[in-house]
Amino acid sequence: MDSPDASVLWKIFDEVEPDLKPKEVMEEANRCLFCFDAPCTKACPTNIDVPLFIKKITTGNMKGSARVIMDANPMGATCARVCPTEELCEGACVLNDASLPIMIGDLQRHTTNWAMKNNPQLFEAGKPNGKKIAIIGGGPAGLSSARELARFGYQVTIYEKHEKAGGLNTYGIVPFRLPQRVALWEVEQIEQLGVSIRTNCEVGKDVSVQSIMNESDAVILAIGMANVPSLGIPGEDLDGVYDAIRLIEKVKDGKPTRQFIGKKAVVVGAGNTAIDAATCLKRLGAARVHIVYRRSEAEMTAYPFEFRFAKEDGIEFCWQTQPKRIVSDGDGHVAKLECVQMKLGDEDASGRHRPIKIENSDFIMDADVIVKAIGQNRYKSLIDAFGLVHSHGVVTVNPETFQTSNPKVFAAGDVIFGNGKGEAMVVAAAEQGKRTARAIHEQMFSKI
Amino acid sequence: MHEHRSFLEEKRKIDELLQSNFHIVKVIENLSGAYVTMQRSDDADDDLSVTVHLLSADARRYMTNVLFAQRLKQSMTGS
Amino acid sequence: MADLQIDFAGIKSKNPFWLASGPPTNTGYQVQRAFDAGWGGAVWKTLGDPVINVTSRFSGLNYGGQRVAGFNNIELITDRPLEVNLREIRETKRNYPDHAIIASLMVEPKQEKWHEIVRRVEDAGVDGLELNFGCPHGMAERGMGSASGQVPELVEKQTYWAKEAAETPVIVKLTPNITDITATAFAAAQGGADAISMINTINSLMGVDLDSWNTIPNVAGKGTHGGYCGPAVKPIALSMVAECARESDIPIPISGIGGIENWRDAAEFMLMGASTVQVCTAAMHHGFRIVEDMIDGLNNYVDDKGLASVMDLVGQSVPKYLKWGDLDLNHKVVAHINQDYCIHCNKCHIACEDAAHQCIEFFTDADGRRALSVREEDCVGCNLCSIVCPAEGAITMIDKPSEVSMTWNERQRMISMFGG
Repeated sequence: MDSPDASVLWKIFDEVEPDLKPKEVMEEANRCLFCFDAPCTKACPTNIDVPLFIKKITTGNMKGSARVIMDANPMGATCARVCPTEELCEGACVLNDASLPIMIGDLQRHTTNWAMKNNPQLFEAGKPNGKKIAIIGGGPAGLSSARELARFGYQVTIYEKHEKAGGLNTYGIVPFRLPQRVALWEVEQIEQLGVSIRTNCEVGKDVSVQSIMNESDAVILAIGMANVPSLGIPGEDLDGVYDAIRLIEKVKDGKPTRQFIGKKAVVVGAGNTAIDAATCLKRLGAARVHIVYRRSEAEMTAYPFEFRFAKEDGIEFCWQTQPKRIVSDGDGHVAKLECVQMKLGDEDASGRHRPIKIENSDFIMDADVIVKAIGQNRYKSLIDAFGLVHSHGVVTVNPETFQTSNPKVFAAGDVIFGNGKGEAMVVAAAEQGKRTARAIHEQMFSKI
Repeated sequence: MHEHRSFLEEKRKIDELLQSNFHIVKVIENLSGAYVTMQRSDDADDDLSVTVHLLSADARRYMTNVLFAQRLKQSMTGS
Repeated sequence: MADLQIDFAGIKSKNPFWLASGPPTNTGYQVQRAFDAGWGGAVWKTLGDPVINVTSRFSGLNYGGQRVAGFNNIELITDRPLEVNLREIRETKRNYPDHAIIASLMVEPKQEKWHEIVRRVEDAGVDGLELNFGCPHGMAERGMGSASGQVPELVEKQTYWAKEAAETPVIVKLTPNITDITATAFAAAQGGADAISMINTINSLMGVDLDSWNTIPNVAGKGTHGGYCGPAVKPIALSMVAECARESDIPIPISGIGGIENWRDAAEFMLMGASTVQVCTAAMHHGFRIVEDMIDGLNNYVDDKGLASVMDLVGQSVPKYLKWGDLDLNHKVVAHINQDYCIHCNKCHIACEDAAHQCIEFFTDADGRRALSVREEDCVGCNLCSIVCPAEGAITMIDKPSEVSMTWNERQRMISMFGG
């Protein structure tokens, strides 16, 4: 941020979607039918009472509106911005067929914006019950369980290896979708309930697994996922190959770099992280950004609205294309990407068509920058350090209680998110955190 | 419509009379508005009285405020 | 958390929100559901000789795409025998001892009739009685409801009869279908009423179907006038509450009824002198659950105002509600157009030009664009432009207070001293 035009550069990372204007808010809120047993509420993984929070907007009870949202979803401000609402609440709105669905996400954003601006006290910590809970990981699942446990009266400590808590909300979702201040406000709300957050503290390094296990009545593992795995092709160690998660992390933390200006970039993968990386690169000045994906548009895991957004940003998609080799410029830097065309074969275990290489279809793309976005590795060694049963780094839990193979340890969020099972959404992590907290509370106090 | 202009015109008439030491002695209000009769103050020898016809609502309001000020002044001077 | 408890003529309630007598309070099942949802009290659907109702019974006034801006009904009082209602009242009171149950009553204007029903209903354990002198349809043709509620002598006499037998507080529910509601309110007070409630529904015919030429609603193609209620009647109800609240010879508590559908409406009625509010149409439109935001919103409002109890709101605005002749003629208000917010629909211009004082004029701004401004000296501050303006913040009404005030009454007294 030291160059003269840094502020201009940073400007393009402002939120893309504008806030609703006051008149829009009132018109939209008054359009809500206040359905009974509303499908929007049922479609929300955290079961926000959508008609109620909207009704409260119409009566000017903004504090009440904020409370309804945040009570059900401690990440309510984030989710207002990043939830795939057209697949959830808005997709379920009864007005879809009659006229247009209510803009639930935008109304939720209006209310949570009010809460961020006015900062009312929405919740209180429960009477201390003498029990200690350690939460590993300060992302959505960890924070959400911490919030609920604090309200139940537990003494909660979150161990977070980054400088700031919030997990992917703070570091992983591009700022023009979710400004970091929103994630940090949610963190603050949880700290205000007396939850202690130890940042820059990596479990297994700065603090031992053993001491955490000894000092706590229960432990919640909410460590999410690790770095992007390697592509497993030659040339991956060349200068110019990046990990999408790390790239977004830098941008999100307010450190946009000038190194991508005018560059030709290729992002490998077509999930939401790939889209985020691609749109980030475009904003950082890359001349052309391609996304290469070995399957077709139909198999892509990015949300439709993310895909639309990428196309609007001028991202070019190369479907059924698999990288084969990264070619050096002879000076240790990326120069080209050699790819092969794919065709789709039979369905695999995940129900998606298996990509098969087409013989002699190799071709070369010019590229200065290669960004890997093909999913994330798992923190297997830490999971092993806790001695938990897992499947390829996905911790096995009781789906009702979120209890792991060690009855004292629970797990929630991306650490239990397995391939092909639901979606790794912030809102799902928040709900899991809530349910984990309730399960712990039930178990602790049913014994007495 | 420039109702304000007729008010200013009517107000000017009253103000001129006030400046010439006139004061209000009689007010008649009817369907046609207000007829305000003003007389030169006591120290003047002549018995000259002038009746101003006020049409605009603002002038009729103004006239009453003048009346209140006049009463206040009279009560303070004891006359 | 503010204290929402109220004491209404001795009837205690955990919040000021009562269900008004009507379809939602027809049975014990419904009233108990309402109490579960959070309502502080309920006025049971009017008890009396059971009627036979017609069908259909209701109609809604939709305005500009918004449903139920107004509502009317031709349903009469309870159609169930008194014993059935009393059994359910007993059961409800047993299960919900902390909630207020008021029995609404309507009988022929005879002393023995009032004595009988009052005794039998009080025996069931109600917390109070509400005398229904208000329903404008059906029962009025039989000499009850608004037919007796429009005659102050009948109001006073029947209140007196009810009071002779009553041990619980007696509330008299007044009809708005009368020129001056303070006359019947005063009669109720003279009759010994412990409180009054208002308004009952207003005479209305909701509409005529342009295809069939039937009335709306209709019964086998025929119709009759019904009782009008819902959001559209709120201003009428509010003024009637305020008129009674400011009369020193009506020194009894008021329960406000009429178009209340959220905590804001409730707070307005309380500021104007009501110490409880009754709701019917909103519960019919949305269900009992609407009370959650009423309670929550009122609680937050009372907290924000720095008050300890909701009772501190009661009557705060009554001293501000005067006769026209006591308003300041010297006070001036002018409209101001904020160009940053104007969306150039020109509705203010045409409204002022055609219906007000022709003082909103076009001009060309520095960038050569056509815009509007107010010629302040001719602006009478009527508010019309700001009422029709669809853009939030585009028109502000600016107060220009005068140094001295002069009311019409003061002015007339002064002029009378000068032969006027």
